[in-house]
Amino acid sequence: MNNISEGAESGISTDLVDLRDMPLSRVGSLADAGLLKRILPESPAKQVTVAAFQSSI
Amino acid sequence: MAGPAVPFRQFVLKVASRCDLACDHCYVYEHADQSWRARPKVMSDETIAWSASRIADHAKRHGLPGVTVVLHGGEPLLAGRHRLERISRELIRALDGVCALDLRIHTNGVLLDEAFCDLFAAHGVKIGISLDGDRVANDRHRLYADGRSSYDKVLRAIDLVRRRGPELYAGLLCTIDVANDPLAVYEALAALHPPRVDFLLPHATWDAPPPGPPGAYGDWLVRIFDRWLADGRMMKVRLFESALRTIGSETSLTESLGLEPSDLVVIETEGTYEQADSLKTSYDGAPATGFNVSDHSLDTVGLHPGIHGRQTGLAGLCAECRSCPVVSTCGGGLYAHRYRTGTGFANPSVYCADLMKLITHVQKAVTTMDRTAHTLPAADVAALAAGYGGVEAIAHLEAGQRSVRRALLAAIGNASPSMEAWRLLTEIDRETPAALDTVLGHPYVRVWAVKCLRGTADDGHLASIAATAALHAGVEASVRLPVRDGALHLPGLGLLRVGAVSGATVETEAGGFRVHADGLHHEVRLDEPGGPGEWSPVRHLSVNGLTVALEDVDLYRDCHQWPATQRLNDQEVERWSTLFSDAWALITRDHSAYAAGLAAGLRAVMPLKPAADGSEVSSTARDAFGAVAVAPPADAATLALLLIHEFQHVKLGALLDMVDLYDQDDTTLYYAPWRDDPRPIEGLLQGTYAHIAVTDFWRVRRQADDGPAAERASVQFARWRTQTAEAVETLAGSGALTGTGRRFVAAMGNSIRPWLAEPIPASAEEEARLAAARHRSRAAARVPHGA
Ligand code: SF4
Ligand code: SF4
Repeated sequence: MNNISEGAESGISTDLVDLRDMPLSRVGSLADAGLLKRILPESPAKQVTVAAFQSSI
Repeated sequence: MAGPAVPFRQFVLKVASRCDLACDHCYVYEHADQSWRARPKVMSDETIAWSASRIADHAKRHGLPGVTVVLHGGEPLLAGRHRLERISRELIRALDGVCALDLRIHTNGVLLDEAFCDLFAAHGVKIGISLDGDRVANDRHRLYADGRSSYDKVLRAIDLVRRRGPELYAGLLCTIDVANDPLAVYEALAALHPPRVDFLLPHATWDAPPPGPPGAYGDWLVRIFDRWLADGRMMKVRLFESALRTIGSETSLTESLGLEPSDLVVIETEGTYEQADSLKTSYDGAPATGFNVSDHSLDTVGLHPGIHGRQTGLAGLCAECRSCPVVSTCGGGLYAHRYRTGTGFANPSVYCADLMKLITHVQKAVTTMDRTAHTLPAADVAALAAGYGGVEAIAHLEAGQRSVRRALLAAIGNASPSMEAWRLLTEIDRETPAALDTVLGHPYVRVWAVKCLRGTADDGHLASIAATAALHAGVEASVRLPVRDGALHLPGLGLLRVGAVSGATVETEAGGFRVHADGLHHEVRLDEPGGPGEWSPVRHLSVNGLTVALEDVDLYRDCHQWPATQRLNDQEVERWSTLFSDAWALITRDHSAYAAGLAAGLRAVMPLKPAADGSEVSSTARDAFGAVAVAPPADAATLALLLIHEFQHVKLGALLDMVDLYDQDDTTLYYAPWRDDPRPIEGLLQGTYAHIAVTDFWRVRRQADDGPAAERASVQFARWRTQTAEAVETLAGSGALTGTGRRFVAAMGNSIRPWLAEPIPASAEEEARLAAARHRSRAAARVPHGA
């Protein structure tokens, strides 16, 4: 019988970073950039983005 | 070439060419380029009109969704209130109906008063202010020509802007001097609660290097970075955020880092176009393009080799930068800082050692963070692949959703100009994380978050989420909430009608909250289900220990293919309650393989409007984990089928958030037996997965029911077992599945294959065959289109 876990005895490792125990204040670009791309593949992050003028904020 | 490789989206208007301060680090007056001496003091009305019309033409021609215009100088407030008002009006008028306008002014602040603030508030102009840190730091450079300090005036200006809130307060810019104590500078800036700050390296080139040993600026920034990280990043720092984003393959937020192309053009006081004005530090005349607003379009300016050269990313860098290990974050630093007589800009930044130090330090901070991935136990994946999945499997999917929601929330919170809600959310996360989980677990919170990040919803709901989390935590908090459609929305709890106001202050406490809006006061106790007439709480469907929300109030629930109903009346709720109880009884009695999963993961039933033709209507949304949208069905058995069917999509959607089962780039469309139009691979996979459960449902019903109901079930079973098995074959042979996807689909096939051998009456078989044939010929007659 074909087994979904073939080659992975105990389980499969996913592509999703586990952020459950990371304090919310530290969640952000440090860990979620790849995750956001997964969830929002067509987000503005894919558009051509440009460098913002540094002498104003 | 017809225009710039990248259209211009940022326009810096030098509305005044002189300044009332005489900072000795100023790039306008104190560096190589001295062109300011020959310029008019302020921008003329004619130049303003030309500039606005050039920008509008350019936006139209390139279909830009929005542009940013920065009113700059010298000191732009020296242009005077009336002129700044004319400039703002002219820009707003020219871009009206063309694209969105993000209008900003960057000032030294010393002239800023209430009247200027009123003007900017009236025209939506955000104010950024320069401040180099505490008094000692600021007085090192930011002085009047006679040596007087500007510090007190700047602080008064910041106080004025702060009091107006994030609509006006854009943030602070700090130019670094390594003689200053970095932490004193950081603390002084943080005390002013800026929505965002940036630290600028003082302008320098290889011909005129910065004071201090190589690497000193990197060390200075690293000390602030560590403190900023330890403080929980409670203030947005553009340089650090850009470093983090580029390490995570996102885009930089500033031209001083990253490989993003430049889309900036400067319009000087007399109407000439210039390249980035930081080039003034390089050599006299360096920023000039030779073009001006009255004679040349912006597309013409885009052809200038200097502009074009800054749009070529990696290819535009020198060999040393191109082979540098941190180039994707550094990007060679700010263009102007690369200049050296002889080689021009084909050099690393004069701050190379500093950038390298900072970036490698940030990289190390990222890699030492705990970044484990979710794992899925083999037994649970096998149960899901077979079409089922119990409490454990759903718990693993839910765990993945929690990470997704936290990432989405943080992406919004970190970018939100209003820190109040974000601070409250991070506090609740620290003290009572279960309360935050409860509100984030409401299915339509993620729907809002995704819309917000895609730019189709605003971030005001963040405050509603924070207030709801505070209520779940039972803590006292005061939050300003947006009012939408005349109501305050507390996701998962309900809505409170407050009338035509734009916002209201909510004060939470254990068990309830008070609201103040424009002189009106409301009080809601959550334990009194009736509450005041303006309060519409979310009602629930409860049966045998299972409780799910009957969600007819959430602001973001209308995200399904079919429209949501309005608030249900009591009789309708009663009918839903009966239908749900009966459907649940049927599921637990006859379809128990699905009951545990549903009980563990179903959070909300969202009533849809009935279809005009009376057909059954139900739906799930990939972003609304745990919600099933359904129009009132004819009977409990139909509701049972729709819940089982739709929950398959909920499970598979959550699994797809965690693992890739198919090639995202596959563009083939496939025949799907349940749709008239061909489907992309994800649609086919979702439909097949759902139809395993549909087949199973009829398989059971044909034995559990009698008479015509059993006959109908036999026909449905006969049709769906064959067609679902065929769809499994289509998936398996698509060549578009990943390794895990192939194993998953094979396991789906293992569920359905034994059902093909189950005996059914020949008449049912024949009827099913005819229905399938009719569908196939209808589908074949249609011109394929994307789904
Ligand atoms: S306030 Fe700005 S423009 Fe004026 S001298 Fe200082 S740095 Fe230059
Ligand atoms: S400036 Fe230095 S650190 Fe930056 S990319 Fe070039 S070589 Fe690398």
